Amino acid sequence: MKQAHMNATTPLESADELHSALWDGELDDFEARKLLGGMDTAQRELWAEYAMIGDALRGVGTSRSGFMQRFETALASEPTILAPVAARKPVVAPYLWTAAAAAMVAITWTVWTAAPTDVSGQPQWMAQQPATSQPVAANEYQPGAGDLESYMEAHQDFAYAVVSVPDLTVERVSLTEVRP
Amino acid sequence: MSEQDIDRQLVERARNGDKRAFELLVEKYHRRLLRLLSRMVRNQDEIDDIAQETFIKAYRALPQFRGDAAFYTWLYRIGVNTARNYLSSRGKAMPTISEHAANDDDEPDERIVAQDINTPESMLHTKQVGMAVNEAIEALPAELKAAITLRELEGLSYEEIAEMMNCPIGTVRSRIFRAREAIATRLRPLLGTTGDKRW
Repeated sequence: MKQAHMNATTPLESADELHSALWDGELDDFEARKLLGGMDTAQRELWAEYAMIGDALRGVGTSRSGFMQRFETALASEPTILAPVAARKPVVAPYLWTAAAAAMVAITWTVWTAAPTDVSGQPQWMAQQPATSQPVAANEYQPGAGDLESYMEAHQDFAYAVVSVPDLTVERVSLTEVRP
Repeated sequence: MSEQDIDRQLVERARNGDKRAFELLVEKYHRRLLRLLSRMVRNQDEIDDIAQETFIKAYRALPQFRGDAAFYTWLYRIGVNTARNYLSSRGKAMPTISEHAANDDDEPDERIVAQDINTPESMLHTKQVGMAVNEAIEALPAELKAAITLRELEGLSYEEIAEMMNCPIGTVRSRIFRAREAIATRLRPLLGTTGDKRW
């Protein structure tokens, strides 16, 4: 806005006037970068004049002739600085973690919703959990024969043989009832 | 882009291998640094040497410049430390007057009364430049004189000057530029520059 106002009032600005505004820090970023990046000898001379005028007005004083020349010679013998660019953080890892987390959520949700539910809406395996879990030794569990037999009966359609629990003998069975 | 932004931009360019950008900073600040050092060291040759060493140290330390403080504030600290080390190596005490403004974040106090750099040549040069600038200022039309004074001495922005002078910002910019040109025309014979190299 401010810049537009300036441009509107001075359409025919000279390059020197731009440098004067640059010296005062009154140019926008684009113009300032452009001028700072392309100064020739004459523009550098202008910069030096503006520096001296400002210092003279403020009573700072002057330097002895040749100071800048001596400094430029000294600077020329210095190795050129090329500051390392800060290494950018890898941007892949966060996305991988996000994908993994999303996969876990999807699997959990699928298992939760696919499991049969009881009247309370909870999966049955949760509803059947005892209120307090008590450790049971592996050798203490004695499944009842009825439990196993009913299980086997329910699945015998798919079985070739039924294993009787107590004596582990194999018998052929048939599901078709033979009627005389 | 403010003045500090321009300094940061020049620092950034220097960090990326542009030594000329750093020379612009030296051109801008070396007189202020010389004045500061002249408060601590009396010999003109020593002042020049310390100033040069300060700038070289600053150049080497550019990668560590974070830009939290103004460039001159950072340079000021390097200058004070360099002068302190110089005096210490010669068994001299640091004048206490230089300690007053060594705050971490504040701009160094520029209200110190400048002492003339003590050689007849430099004193004459300073006097000639001062006279030329004063004569040029006095010869300026009132509106140019007001604009350059408000900018250089009061440190006002173009917007503030425009409000004070009741004119557009572009007019302020033009007036300040014309004032500088008039002063520079008087100064060029003393500086050995012609000003006709520009387009």
